[in-house]
Amino acid sequence: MNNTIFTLSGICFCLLITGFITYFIFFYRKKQIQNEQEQKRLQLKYNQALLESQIEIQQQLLQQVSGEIHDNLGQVAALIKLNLVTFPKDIPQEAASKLEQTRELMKKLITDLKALSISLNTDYLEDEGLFKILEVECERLNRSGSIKAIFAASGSQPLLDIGKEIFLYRMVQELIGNVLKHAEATELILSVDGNEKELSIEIRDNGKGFGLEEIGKNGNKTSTGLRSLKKRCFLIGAELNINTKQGNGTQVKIRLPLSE
Amino acid sequence: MDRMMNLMIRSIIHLVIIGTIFILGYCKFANLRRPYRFLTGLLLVTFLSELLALLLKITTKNAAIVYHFFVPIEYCMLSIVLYHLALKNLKWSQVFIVLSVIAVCIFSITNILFLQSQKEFPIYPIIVSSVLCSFQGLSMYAYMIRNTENTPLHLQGIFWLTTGCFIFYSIAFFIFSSSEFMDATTNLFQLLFDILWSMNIIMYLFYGLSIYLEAKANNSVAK
Repeated sequence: MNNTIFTLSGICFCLLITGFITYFIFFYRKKQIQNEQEQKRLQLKYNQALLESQIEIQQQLLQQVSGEIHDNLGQVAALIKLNLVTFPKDIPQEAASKLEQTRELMKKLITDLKALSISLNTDYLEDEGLFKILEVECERLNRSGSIKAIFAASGSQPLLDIGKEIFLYRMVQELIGNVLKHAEATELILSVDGNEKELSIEIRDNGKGFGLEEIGKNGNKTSTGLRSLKKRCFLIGAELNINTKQGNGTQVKIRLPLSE
Repeated sequence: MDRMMNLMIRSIIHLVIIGTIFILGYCKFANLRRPYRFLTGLLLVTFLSELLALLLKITTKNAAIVYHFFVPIEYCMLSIVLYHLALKNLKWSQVFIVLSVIAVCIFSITNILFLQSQKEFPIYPIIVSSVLCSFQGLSMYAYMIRNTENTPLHLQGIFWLTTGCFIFYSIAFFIFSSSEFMDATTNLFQLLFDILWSMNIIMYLFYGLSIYLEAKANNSVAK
């Protein structure tokens, strides 16, 4: 009888210890997962703060450059234009023709400086909204003659946080810059579509395209640029999809869900 | 005669295992942190006391006197190991460890003077130190939960050290406290002490594993 009691209590005791250690292992794993998630969250928050401060510094610099273009270069150009307009009329025919050409060039320079100033300044973005400023960007591209840019907007522009709008605007500018630099395209279509649930921006070109796998392998500038774009999309909760093939142009789509 | 032979073989196996783990600790000594160096010291003390016990068993047929001294020393050293490993981060631990070490020492002296003679196995001090060691093991688990690391649990030396210590001392507590009420000639009694011997071996293997993992982790950090 005594032996049975000891055996049973011994078994119970061993089961208790085993159960305790098993519970500890599971509980510890649970804590580890929680910690990992917390670390990831903090890392993300840190990256976001870092990127935001980088963007802020960049914004300040661009605002400054934009101000300089508008206030100094623009004013000087306007003054030159005024001088050219008020130039004496009694000059030889050849010089008059050159003067007329110079006036036209000056007019174009002033328009370009104005557009560049707007493109660099995000005050305009705050006032007019993302759709409008992207349309202006396309107009600027068309005026520059470097590419034929078509802007297509559908839906309505959703209300976005200005920080996210600046993120998106700068990303589109970078993507357009990439098209101009690398794609050898003649036509670019920038389409935006918005509703209460999401905002999507698509940039399509008819350029030479590229192999995504090759870019992934090389640590070149393009892959760094794409990584940076992906990271920025991730930070604002957007998705970046790139569809491209050698010789078949490139289609880049940024989709930002607006569920919150 | 057979029983004596059996005990000798067990003691030799015990010695070989403890000696091997001590050599492992000694070889990796430079890569070990302070508590694991103390643990290596504890292994050396255990090895020497087991060796002395074996010699006494051969010469005088009774080695109980060794354990009268070994139990408080072992408790003291293990407390130092656990204290430096983690328990120093718990507020109450320093007072608890100092008091418990003093209590175990005083109790061991009282035990040899008034309760169990030097020829009897010191069951009471073992029961007391087992309860305290199990409690320290539980405190170590609590510390680990509060200070979760990213390394998987099975790769953490502290886990194996704590688990070895906790399992062995809680089982030792159960077996020694039960043994007081049992007939020493029964098979169950023998079985319980076989289990205790196996758990002791497992504890030292866990100590060895913890030393190995600690040395490996510190080696990779140094690289």
